[in-house]
Amino acid sequence: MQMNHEYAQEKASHSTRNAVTPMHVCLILDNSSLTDTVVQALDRAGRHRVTVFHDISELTQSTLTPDAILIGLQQFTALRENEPMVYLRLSRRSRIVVVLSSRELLDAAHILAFADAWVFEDINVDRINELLDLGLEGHCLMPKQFLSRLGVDEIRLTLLPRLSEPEFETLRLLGQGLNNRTIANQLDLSEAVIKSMVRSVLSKLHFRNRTEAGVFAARQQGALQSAREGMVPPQMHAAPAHRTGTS
Amino acid sequence: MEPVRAFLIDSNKLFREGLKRLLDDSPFQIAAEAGNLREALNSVDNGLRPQLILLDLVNGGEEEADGMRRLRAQLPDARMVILTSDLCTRRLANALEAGADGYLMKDLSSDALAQSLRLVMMGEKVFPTHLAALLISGRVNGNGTDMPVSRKGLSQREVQILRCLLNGDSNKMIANHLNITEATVKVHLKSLLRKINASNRTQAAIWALNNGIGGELAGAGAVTAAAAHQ
Repeated sequence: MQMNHEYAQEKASHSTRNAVTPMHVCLILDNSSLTDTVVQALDRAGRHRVTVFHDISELTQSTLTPDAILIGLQQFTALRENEPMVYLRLSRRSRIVVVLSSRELLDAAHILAFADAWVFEDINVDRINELLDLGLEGHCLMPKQFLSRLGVDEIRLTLLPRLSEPEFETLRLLGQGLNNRTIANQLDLSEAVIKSMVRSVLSKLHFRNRTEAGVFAARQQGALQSAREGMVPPQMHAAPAHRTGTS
Repeated sequence: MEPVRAFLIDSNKLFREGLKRLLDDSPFQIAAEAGNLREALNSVDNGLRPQLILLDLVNGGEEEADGMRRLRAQLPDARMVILTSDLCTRRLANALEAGADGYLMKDLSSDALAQSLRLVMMGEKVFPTHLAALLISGRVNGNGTDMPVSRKGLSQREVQILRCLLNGDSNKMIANHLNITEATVKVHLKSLLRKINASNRTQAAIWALNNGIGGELAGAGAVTAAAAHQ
């Protein structure tokens, strides 16, 4: 990654020197309304030549070598996973700026290091022109909320509907600092099952370990239930018959 | 944009003079310079009130973080940006802890530097993308400041470890962060658990949460809710 960065800087010095020719930016975003927003924001500065593609293959088949590729998170993930060689080729020729929403932050954390910059469609897409300039030189804007634990907690709360009911209860009990055996007793499940519950809680909400999960559950104790329910479609509210609501 | 009075703290004189000239056409005017922290603090004591501080202290690390905290204390409204050639996660963590508004690499073009500083003045945080990626994946933590008083007879070290636990750090990460060995972390952890009567690290972390260790979160509603539940 270190190398990657140095390489990136080398490229940067090229592109800033010829500021006279407009920068060529390719858009490959996940949905068309976002594309409209970004195109409008780019047009406002009027410094860029913009080409819109619908997926990566259109770009790879063309002979274009854009200065920057603005790519949606889903497209970027697919590119990284399915076509590493194409990614490598593109990232040598162009700077790659990933466009995502703050909700996707935790899911995307492992992959963001492979981009030259990121733009959050719900936070700083209005600064896209500045962000492109910075991205060309290996820097990016970090939304303030992600620098505080509460900000990251808020994103995690939106992920709670992913958990199954037993997983959710397990998370709650992790928030009391209980060990697997005690959790198993309380939920009337076997210790082995709890072990796998904990594992899936950690992976679904992107915790590194149970302490991180426990601290989150304790800190957000008052918000867990409503965050989980807020997202659940109304017809499902009736379903959970035996929930031991505490907060 | 209104001109911005900047204070440049860097040990390299040639760099200071060069940057001053490069920024001539920008809104950023280097109103004062210092070669080290002592000079910098002197100038501030003598009434220097910059809106923006650019700094790179030679040794980085603790000295820099400490320096930033002292500058921050005297100049609560100034923006602080590290401008360095050193891409280092620990330095970033320290800088964030001390309240930095940005971390910029010295190989930026002067245009991009001015651009970044403009964004910083608007309240944005600017970082090298690769460091920021580590920050998001949780491998770098920006913590609150040191807690002045200890509770339950906890040593400063134990409080530091508690704060790491709150981040969900493993023993290895704690050891790295505090610059001690993993075995030492274990010893501290053991005595810590005994002192606060916790049976595992998660309980210790939750105790820390409820007792306001971890700076920014003290007083948050969720914490009191958690405390009431016990």
